[in-house]
Amino acid sequence: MTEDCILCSIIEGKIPSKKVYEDDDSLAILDVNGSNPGHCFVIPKQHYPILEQVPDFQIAKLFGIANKISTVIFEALKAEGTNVFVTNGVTAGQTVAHFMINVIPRSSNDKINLQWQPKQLDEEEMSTIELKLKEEAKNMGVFQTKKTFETRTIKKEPERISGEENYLIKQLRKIP
Amino acid sequence: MEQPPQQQMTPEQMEALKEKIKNMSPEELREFQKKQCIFCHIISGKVQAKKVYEDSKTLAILDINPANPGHILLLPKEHYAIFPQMPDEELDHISMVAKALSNAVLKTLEATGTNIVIANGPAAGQKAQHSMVHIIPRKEEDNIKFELPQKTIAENELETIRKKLSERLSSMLGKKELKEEIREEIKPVPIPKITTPQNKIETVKKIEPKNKIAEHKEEEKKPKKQKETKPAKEKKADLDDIARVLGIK
Repeated sequence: MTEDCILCSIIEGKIPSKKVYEDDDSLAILDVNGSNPGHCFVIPKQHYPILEQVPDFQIAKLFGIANKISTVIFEALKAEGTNVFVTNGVTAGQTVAHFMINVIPRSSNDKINLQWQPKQLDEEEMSTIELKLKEEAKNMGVFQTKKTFETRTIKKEPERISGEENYLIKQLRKIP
Repeated sequence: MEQPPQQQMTPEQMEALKEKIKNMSPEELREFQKKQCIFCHIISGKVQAKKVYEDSKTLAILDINPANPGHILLLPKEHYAIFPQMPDEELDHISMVAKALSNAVLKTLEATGTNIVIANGPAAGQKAQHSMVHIIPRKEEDNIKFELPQKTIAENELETIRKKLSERLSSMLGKKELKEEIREEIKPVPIPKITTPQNKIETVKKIEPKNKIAEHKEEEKKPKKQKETKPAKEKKADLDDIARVLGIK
């Protein structure tokens, strides 16, 4: 927790907020000056400035909560649509140094603009980008899905590896 | 090679189709959408695309109409019209892939930020019938102007919404409904907003000096590194730098 982070202050309860969901490591609150009524933030309780610093399993959980909020916004607020929106880095429009996922209820003509003008790229440029990303993406595919601490109600089986290790250690001890 | 149907329809055909869709069961509708869906054709290999990442559940391709160079579309291989239809496990996986792709974009494309955008429903700007995650590389002055205006929402309206949402969320996510925090003297503080064109200048002004401080600090530590003489193109985005700029208060 950092002292000057407004979201950390909310998490600690120093600043009141409109909480819609809370558990051990995540919090979802209503934006009091939202872009539409029902605009929510989903945040990790641990202070991470940007997306890349949040552990994989926590990202999965936060997006899971955001998606559930989307569902609830459709059902309970009769929204015509929802946006799940992340600003990662100052140039992307991030203003608070605490990672958050915005969930925004949408209706037509609500003055929100999350559209873009397509840019024209030539084939060569596209191919260069494709190659660069493909090369980098080769390292992907291994995700940190294991939680290091119990977060949700789902109970995990006791870790096998540690059992095996103990077994091996016992074996070693037996060796004269 | 089979091509997705793209021929123009007469108004009569359109009406007949609308009627047909209306009478479909959800399963039939999904099958129907799959057959029409260009992204399903890309996933099955019938239509070509620039693929950057693929695993058993997801496919990431380059957007042919990018908001910025390197704009990625991350698709679930299964056809879901909107994200609320997606099972939890698949969503968990796709969000971790999205994070990794954002990281890849920052590392390789000299981007200094990324936007992750999901649109559920045409009112939210969804254009294709296949749900997808947009990963958009961002740079300064890249001419992308997202607008999220701030609205003043009355306290009682907020509380009504909070109750509705938290009741349903708690039943979905298996947690107790949260009680309203009663502290009448202190009003909830508005959280600094996502930059809109109007307040963008302000934010830039605020951040610039901090940026310089960060650079100076770095120069002190590593006097050999000549940051200023380096052409901008060679500058690789450093995750720590991106986080640091945000972190300085």
